[in-house]
Amino acid sequence: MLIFRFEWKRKRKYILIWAATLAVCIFSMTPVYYGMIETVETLPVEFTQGGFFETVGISLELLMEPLGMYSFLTGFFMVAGGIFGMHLGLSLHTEECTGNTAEYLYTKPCGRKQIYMGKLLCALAGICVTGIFYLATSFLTMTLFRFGFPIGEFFLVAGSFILISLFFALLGLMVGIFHPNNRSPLLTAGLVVFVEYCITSFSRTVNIRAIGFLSPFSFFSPAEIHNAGTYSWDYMLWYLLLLFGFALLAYWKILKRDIALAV
Amino acid sequence: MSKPVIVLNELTKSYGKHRGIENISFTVEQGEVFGFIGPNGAGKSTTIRTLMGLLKPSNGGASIFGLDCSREPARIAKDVGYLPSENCYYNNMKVKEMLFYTAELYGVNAHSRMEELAERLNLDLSRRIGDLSLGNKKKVGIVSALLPSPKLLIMDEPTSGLDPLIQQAFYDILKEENKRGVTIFLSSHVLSEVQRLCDRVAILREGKLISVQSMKELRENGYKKISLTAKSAIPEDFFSVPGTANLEWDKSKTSVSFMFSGPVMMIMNQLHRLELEDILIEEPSLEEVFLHYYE
Repeated sequence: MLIFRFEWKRKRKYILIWAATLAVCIFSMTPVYYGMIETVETLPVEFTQGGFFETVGISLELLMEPLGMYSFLTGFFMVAGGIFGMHLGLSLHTEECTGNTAEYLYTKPCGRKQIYMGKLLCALAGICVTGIFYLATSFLTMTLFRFGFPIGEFFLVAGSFILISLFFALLGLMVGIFHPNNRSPLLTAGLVVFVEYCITSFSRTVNIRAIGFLSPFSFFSPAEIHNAGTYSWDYMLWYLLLLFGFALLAYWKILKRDIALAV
Repeated sequence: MSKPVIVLNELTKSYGKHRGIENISFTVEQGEVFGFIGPNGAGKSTTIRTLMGLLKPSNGGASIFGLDCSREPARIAKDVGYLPSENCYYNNMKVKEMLFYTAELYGVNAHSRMEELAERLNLDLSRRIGDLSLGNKKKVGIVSALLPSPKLLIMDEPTSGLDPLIQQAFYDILKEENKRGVTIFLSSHVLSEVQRLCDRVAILREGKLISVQSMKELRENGYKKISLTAKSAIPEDFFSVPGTANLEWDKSKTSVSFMFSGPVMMIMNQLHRLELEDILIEEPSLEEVFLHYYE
């Protein structure tokens, strides 16, 4: 817990800023977007016929539902959540190497296992805080502006944000342990999340579901949630496998690797 | 007989194309002050980082207190105070915060010890680490290593960046620690430091162990520094006798200085053939002894 407390103290401000920013954004943007459309007919033809909404996982039918525009916006906030999660996970390890503090920490009696657990807990706590902020603000926003939305579906859509952030946080932790000398973790996080998002859009455009397994954004399509009332079981199974895979690989590597000095 | 605290057994660490260390074997006994000397890039820090469990050995192994350095570094670290050669502290923390964190990591309450060491080393505990000079950062490292009152101190270039007054205070602290039974392992290329503190020394060159000797043996290894001036030029091959090294001639070839190790009568008989104007036979400094090893 000592490492966790220390890491949390270091990252607390950063996490709270992200959480507050995302909460403010979802609160202010949701009513604006709802105000932009009343019916499908009010949308430009390019949007309704060009397959734009399908590439972001929304159907026109869903868009007209109480949760439609919120789901559409959450699709984009998931990108932000992914970048936040991956940057948090990455920087927890890269900062030790690039800041030259790894030699201090790894020669103390806490051991590598505790260091790993402390940093993992810090990442999880960061995701929890951001997720709670997002969930609570979303709920407040929807209650204020679109009362009568389906609660279960809302939690699945809003929960997608948390699950995406968690996925990228664990991916970031693993990548940070494998490549601790990364001096641009935010750029790395941005690029990885953007590429993953593009893979999902591509899989939806070409309508090949198998490609979707390469990107976590595919696992949480609001249209599929709306139709099935739940997440797809095959995607969720794969998601959980990947999460455990990242966590185990990172753990294995941190026990085995040499602690590099910054170059 | 004292038991070894540190045991290195054919310890090898290679980095692909880059040189690491090769087959390093020696032991450090309990209560000993052991020096580890070599020029830059000799492999001193690599050896120490392997001992601290930061690097995994490619071959061979090392143990501290009978525990394997690569398998149980956390257990070993409980009784080891480590000072790295580079400053590696959290720049945004205050000195006091960082030292409290160190104490927490060791599970000790070290408030009074921290105050005492900071006073002796003239370290301001209220300043932010990022604002400190190189020497003051080194002091933070020294206090951090000494804080948990360890049984073993491993220090990599401990005095680099310290002014002479603080160096003296640091030597005094080390001597006190050693008196209360602490084993000290320190690397340095400041020979006067090693000469002043150490009981034994290991000499490293290009990743290989050249020799392990006591300071007494090192000084008494038979090497004499001979400087002489003859009345006429001395033939260049005149001193090509076994045991002669580091010949340095002046321009006129009438004066020469060199190191000699071997039967005294052999060199005396040779010198007897010269018409000498002046001669000085003295014990070489450690620098000169080590230069001989490095060449």
